[in-house]
Amino acid sequence: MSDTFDALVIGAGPNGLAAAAYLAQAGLRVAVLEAEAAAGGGCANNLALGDLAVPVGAQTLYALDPRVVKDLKLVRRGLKFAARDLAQIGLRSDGKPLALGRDAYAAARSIAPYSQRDAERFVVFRRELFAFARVMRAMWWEDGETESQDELRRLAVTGAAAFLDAAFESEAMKAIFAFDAMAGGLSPAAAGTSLLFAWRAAQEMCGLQGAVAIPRVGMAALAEALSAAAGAACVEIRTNSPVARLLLSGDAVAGVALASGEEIPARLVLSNLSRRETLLNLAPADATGFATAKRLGRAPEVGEAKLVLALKAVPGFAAIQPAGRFVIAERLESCIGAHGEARAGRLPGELALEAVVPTMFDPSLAPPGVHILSVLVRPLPVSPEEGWPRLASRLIENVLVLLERHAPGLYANIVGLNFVAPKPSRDPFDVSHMLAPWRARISTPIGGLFLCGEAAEPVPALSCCAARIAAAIAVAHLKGEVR
Amino acid sequence: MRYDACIIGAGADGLAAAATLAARGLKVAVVERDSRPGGRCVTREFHPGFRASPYVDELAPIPADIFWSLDLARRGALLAPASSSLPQAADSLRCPIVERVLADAATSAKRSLFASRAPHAPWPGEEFSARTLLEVLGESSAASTERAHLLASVLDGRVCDPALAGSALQLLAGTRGGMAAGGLGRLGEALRGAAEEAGAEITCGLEATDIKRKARRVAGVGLADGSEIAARAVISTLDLKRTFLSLFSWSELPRALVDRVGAFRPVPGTARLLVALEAPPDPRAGMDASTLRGPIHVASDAVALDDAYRAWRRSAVPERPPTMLRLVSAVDPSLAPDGAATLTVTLGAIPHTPFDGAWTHEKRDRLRDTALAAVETVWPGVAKRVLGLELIVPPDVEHLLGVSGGDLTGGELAADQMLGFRPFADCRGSRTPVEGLYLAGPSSALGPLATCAAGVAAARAVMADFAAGRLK
Repeated sequence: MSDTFDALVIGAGPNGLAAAAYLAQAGLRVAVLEAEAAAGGGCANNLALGDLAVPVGAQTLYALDPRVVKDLKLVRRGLKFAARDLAQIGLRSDGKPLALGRDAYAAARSIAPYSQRDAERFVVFRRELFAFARVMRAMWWEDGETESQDELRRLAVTGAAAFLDAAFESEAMKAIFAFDAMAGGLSPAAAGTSLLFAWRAAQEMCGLQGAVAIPRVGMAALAEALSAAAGAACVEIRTNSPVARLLLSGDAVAGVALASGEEIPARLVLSNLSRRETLLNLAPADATGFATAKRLGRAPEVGEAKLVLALKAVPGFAAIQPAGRFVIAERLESCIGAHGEARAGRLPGELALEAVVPTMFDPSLAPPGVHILSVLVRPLPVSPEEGWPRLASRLIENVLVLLERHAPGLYANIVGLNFVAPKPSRDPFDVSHMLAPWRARISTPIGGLFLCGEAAEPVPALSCCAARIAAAIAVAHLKGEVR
Repeated sequence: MRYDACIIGAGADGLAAAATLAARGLKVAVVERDSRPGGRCVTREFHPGFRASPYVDELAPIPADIFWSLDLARRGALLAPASSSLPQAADSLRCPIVERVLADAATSAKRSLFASRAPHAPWPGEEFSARTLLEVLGESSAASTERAHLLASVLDGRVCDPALAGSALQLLAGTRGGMAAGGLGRLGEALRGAAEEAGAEITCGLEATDIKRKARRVAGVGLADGSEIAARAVISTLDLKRTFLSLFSWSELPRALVDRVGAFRPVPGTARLLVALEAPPDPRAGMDASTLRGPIHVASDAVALDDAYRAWRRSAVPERPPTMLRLVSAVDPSLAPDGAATLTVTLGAIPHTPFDGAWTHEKRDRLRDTALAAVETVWPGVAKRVLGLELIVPPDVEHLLGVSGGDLTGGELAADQMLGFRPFADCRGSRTPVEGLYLAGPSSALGPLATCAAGVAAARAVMADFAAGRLK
């Protein structure tokens, strides 16, 4: 225990592990401090579901940084994919499902019953969006200045609702995209939300632009591969070590104090927690200015919840080809209305959700005959008036009724169920995050303290991109000090 | 007979453009579909002896240099001082924007007409496009009822969700120019005087039906009686959709332009009730003469505003729409006979067409009762003094004034339709992708910010292009 460390990483989630691995590769002695008994954070299987356990966090991967996969040799360390390119499938109550896969012509055929014009437009829409997104990658993938583009400036003021209204005429097409436009608790009507489409299209998974993937053996495979990478770089991972506070000397960080009372000195601390948690809970009260503290004190109003079901039989809609993620959102307008209700602290009357059945792609995730249905529900109030424990039962009931409508018989097949309420500790997200330089998202008012988790990403999603860039910035910071 | 410029629409912008061009010695024709000029600057009798400006009581401010250069004061346009008290941040921003557009209109003639005029330097006020109205107002007031009141006076009958990013732009468009003494009609008359005195020819009662082109360049305006006005430049003061979608055959225009214009979003949402009262309402405690001169927002709270907004989004008529009362005859006694009073009620969040079908007599009566009930809460007993009423819903505005969707703002004041993006990024300000056609009116960059300024900007663009030899 007398080891001295150059850098400490708070939280052994995927981002923390990736940041630690990068720091260690740069030659620093690094320890990761994890409050739980096991590493993995949101990717670890620690949500009980009947006899099974599933991860609390992300249900699909659509933004994992390909450079992290390569640099940390994650594929060799066990990150394989059960599904590389999930189609986006809109389940409709007014007609056949809308299946938007990589095959543009098949997608156009499935759109045609809703609108012939939209079918033609979709092909152009995707090509143009993908081409623009490729230009924008520099801004979202690397730390540095990017010149402002006219198209970027236009999207940065255009709401997703206006963007979709201009692009498509059918409700089916607008609604299927509206779900993605509510990422981070935004309303599709808010200025700049159309940039979310460009950001999503700019991501690369398994060598495919804008793809959605599911890892083999589940999300835990990612956590394990990252743990292995960190271990190989001689990172020390300390579990059961909750951090109580940061130690400061002057306005720079000097280490952390654990809940056990142990103090660990270090000149660099990278936090995988949100900005709010890091600066409000861990830093001394006077470390941030009053105005910053006041701004940080604001909790997000709208978030998303996760509902996981274990089923005796695969739900009816799983038969749709190509296989994909299922989006239930009836109308764009109702998504905007639902956001308003969620903001007012109420359970929206009409919900939007995304469901995946990971066992369709990897049966080994559950015993034979059991299927897992993982559902992401948006938009929901983060701190409802009546409190989450009471609201949860109503929400679950509403979600099950909605699912039953699209997959008759589903209700009778449920053998296990668990629910994760929206997290109030998250940072409020707004469009300016997507346009801010990396440095602004990563640095904090405290010298040597950096954010490396979801809070530092342009859009809250599992990406590890922030971890990679935060590690580089932290190393440069340390070297600059030495010199 | 060939004119230098033909102006479609004799509203404030059209008349200001005509006066500016004619004063420079250009030959100018103005065509107006209504039987008299003025556009929304009209005052008419809605009940024997009672007059009111049917569409709005107050206009956005007229920039001072334009007001003086058109010599409006001598012509009888006197503006009562702005009556509401709001945070002044927006006012200090509006002027630089107006100046910037006016300067742009004059200088960009150096560049090619068809060059993309996408915004490069940020516009003044652009930081508002990322902020919410609540955030901006919250800094000046914490109490929620007070904030709801502020919100109502900023929105002034327009509709928006104040918690969404971009809604802060509503501050820039607050109508704060003051009421014209003698009604807005007096201002319309003054502008007409300025235009005619300078030598512009105004033809009323004749609608422009199409813009004629020869060799891809504007050649004139076709009129409803089949005649044609030949002109080297055309300034349209109609809104964007009317200009491009009804004055051209779509096949003549680039497909992308038609799509872009088609996607431009009007937001109808205001209804008006003009009320003739046999006697002014009894004064109430806490209401002195100066209160009566200003707008009275019927006590609303944040919840009521939110409910009204959501009802409007569903195309339902809200139960408690944001309501603003104005005893216009208290400011201008000429609007009502002696001893009587004229009251206007502005109702916000009123859908263009209710979800269950067009406005019927029953629906109109219900809306009228809603408005009168709101008046009753301020002045009990007023309903017994009502002599006559006129209700104007968005389709009436669309029909009478000829604006798409009956939206007087000329298009939603969303971040992607404001400032450098109005009407859209590669066609902003006055020049348009059609050579020789200039856009003034509500959908141009200045439309919602100032009165007359968009017309003057278009006129300056025309003059600059004449000087540069672009218009033949």
